[in-house]
Amino acid sequence: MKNLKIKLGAFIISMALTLTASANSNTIKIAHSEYAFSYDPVFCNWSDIGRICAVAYDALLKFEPTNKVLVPHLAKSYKKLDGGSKYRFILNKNVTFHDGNKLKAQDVKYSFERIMAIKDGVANLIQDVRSINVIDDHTFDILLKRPTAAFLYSLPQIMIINSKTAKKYEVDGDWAKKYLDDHDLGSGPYKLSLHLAEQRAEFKKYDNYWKGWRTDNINGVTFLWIKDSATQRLMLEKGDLDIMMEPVLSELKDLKKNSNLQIHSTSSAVVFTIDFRVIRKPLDNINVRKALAHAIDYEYHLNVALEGFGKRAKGPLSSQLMFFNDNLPLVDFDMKKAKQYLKEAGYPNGGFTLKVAYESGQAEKQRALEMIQQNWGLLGIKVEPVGTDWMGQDEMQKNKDSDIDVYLGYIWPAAAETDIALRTFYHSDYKGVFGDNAPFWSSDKVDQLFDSGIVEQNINKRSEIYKNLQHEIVKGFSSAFVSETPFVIVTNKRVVGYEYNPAHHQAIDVYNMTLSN
Amino acid sequence: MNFIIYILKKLTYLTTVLIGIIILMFIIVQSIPGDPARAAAGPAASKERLIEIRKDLGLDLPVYIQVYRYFGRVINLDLGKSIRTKKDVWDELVLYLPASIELVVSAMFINIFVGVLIGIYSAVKPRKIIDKLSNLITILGMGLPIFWVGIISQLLFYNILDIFPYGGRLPAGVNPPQHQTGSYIIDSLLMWDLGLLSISLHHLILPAFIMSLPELAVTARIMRNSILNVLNKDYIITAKAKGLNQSRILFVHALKNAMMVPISLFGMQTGWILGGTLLVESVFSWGGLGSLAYNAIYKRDFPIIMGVTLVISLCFVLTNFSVEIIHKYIDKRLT
Repeated sequence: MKNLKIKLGAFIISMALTLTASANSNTIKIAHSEYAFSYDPVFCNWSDIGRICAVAYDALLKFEPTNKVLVPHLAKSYKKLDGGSKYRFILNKNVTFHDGNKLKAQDVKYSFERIMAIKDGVANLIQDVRSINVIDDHTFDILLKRPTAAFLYSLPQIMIINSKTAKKYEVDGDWAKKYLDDHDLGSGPYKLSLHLAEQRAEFKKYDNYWKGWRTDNINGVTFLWIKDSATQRLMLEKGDLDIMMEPVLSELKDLKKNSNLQIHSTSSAVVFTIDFRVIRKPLDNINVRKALAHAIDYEYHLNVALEGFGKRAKGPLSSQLMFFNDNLPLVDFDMKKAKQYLKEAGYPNGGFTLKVAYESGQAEKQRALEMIQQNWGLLGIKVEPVGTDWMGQDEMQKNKDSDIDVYLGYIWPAAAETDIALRTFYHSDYKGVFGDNAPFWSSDKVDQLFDSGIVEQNINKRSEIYKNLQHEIVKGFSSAFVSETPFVIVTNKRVVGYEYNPAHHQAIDVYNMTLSN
Repeated sequence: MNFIIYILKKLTYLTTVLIGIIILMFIIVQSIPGDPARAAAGPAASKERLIEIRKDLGLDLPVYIQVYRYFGRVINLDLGKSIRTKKDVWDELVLYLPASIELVVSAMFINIFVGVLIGIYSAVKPRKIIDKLSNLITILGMGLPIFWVGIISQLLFYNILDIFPYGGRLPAGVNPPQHQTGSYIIDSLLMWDLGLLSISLHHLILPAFIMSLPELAVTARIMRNSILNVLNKDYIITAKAKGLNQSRILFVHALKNAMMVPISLFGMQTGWILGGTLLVESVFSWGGLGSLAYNAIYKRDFPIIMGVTLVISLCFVLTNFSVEIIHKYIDKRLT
């Protein structure tokens, strides 16, 4: 009986300790809604796994967000050879993977070949790679099928894995995919210490990280997968969370009042567009498209739909990316001009209906829809909304025969590079392939500019080509470019040093951050 | 012999129900707009890759052939691979099911234990405070959306009163017990780790209670009415006339017969609670079948959606089957 009482006492005490338990103060806790189903860097372009990649893996080059340039990372140097169809890289010699194996050129070769064989995730970014030639343990060449200037900008997304260990855990030629379901094979600053499916992943600092450790580095990272944003908010306000990745914009005003929190907002690499399907009548008439674009209240969108966050987009490319053309003519909100263009198009009183597809779960798009419904209504144009989700919309966009006239969409770059960002949206080769080109618009001149820009090696000439390209796209009025979608995260006040990186949208560079006391 | 025929009859009926559910779900899932091949390939895959994936997944075939093939695979316990993660659906279900079972069993335990007690008390002391409270719980439990109750309970018990965690099965920094059954409660008991057991229970109580709430309300009301009904029967009046004491009449003579109606209900309730995991697990970040289904629906991961539906349907059907067997065992007159 006495023994039972002691056990009961211990049980109650541990229960009480649970209630008062405080978290490790030098571990950063990041909540987001999407579960990272794998630690395989092939999927680094998925935002959920991209966050993991940012802490556990390293790439040959890194995109430095302040100056928007590529900087050496695992590769200490690189040079262009054979007019840009070959690149020679020299690796840092002091890099080790999380199990102590040293980084060698063979690891790079394996990592690239693995991605090309799996043909998934980031594979599309390196489709121009022909082969990797290892010269010695720390030197290798990447041979390209054609001199592709955008190639280097895809490298920050290509993480290098530990080939020795990967080979050890390969099952039936699966390139260690199964092993990577709950292990990491990286050389990044943090290594996986606990994986709980659909709950959380914990990473601890890797003591032998090749870049070394400052005294104020964060010791650990915990990713918590919390689907409900209300729960995330409660945890943040209570101090149980350091970073909330997907706040609801309408709640930011309230959160701003909390002196323990800070809101980090920046315009992102993503551009919100209202796309007019130019192959459908009456949108085949450029004056109708101009009328619709002038009847969009851009300021209202920024101030109401985006709650004052975000920035007016000038064209298809975000100002976060290189070769952004700052001199594009801005389409203003002017109902008189809109009426004039409609008259010129032969529709002085409107009198037609437009079916508009939008993602009904997204507040930004819902509000944009309400706004255009009202403004276009004043032109005598009836808007018939078709609510769906992103996959449903993608399906419609891909389908040439879809009866949708207008799409509310995003230009979401796969890498922080102009060609990669725009090609699938505006090159005629990609019409109907992915659904990115929702307007089904193309122009020979734009195709020519893409084709010359991708092989051009002189950066100034490239800049000129892509600036012209943006100008041509804007001239076509296939879309109204509404806003650079804001990227907002809310952090606890103790989080210091966060910076948005357009190459790793939604990832957090924990290594370069600190937690203040 | 009659009993065996009864079981065989029920089994045939249940198998037909299961086949019907699979066909219906297959058709519903296929008709949802969205391209699963695109979800599998990722945002930047080439056209050739998309065609290849469609072929691999059999998405290029007519629906009736896809259903036929699916049945063939299900019989061999092969539920296919997740479109998004490429993992075996079976492995995914085995990984997530224990967490959901832990939650559902706990919710059912609260439902039966608390619901029956409240029902008995309300019947014995009608129109007293507990009876009125039980009425209120019934209205709230049945009328309020469960995800809303979940969020409000987090606000109250986590944020304001600070007596329960926000959710999750364990707090950050605490490692789960060694995997044996997948249930943290059972595994920590098997390891005899009382500390971990208390932490796991602490995380379990709130979501389990919220999940049980709508059913608990129903159980309490049905139990109350059932007992009141039995208490008016002739044999109870005779027992009272014989001078038997109140608790003997209630617990020995009335309860057994009064339980017949709630027992039939428990089978259905288990299925309903299991179906409700999707919302509750999302609010409380529980990491069970509900969370798996939530992601699968969002990503058009048809094999996972089908797998989860199959498991939930199977649990629903088997629980009801067990309840009917128990019923038949108690009351041999049933056909």
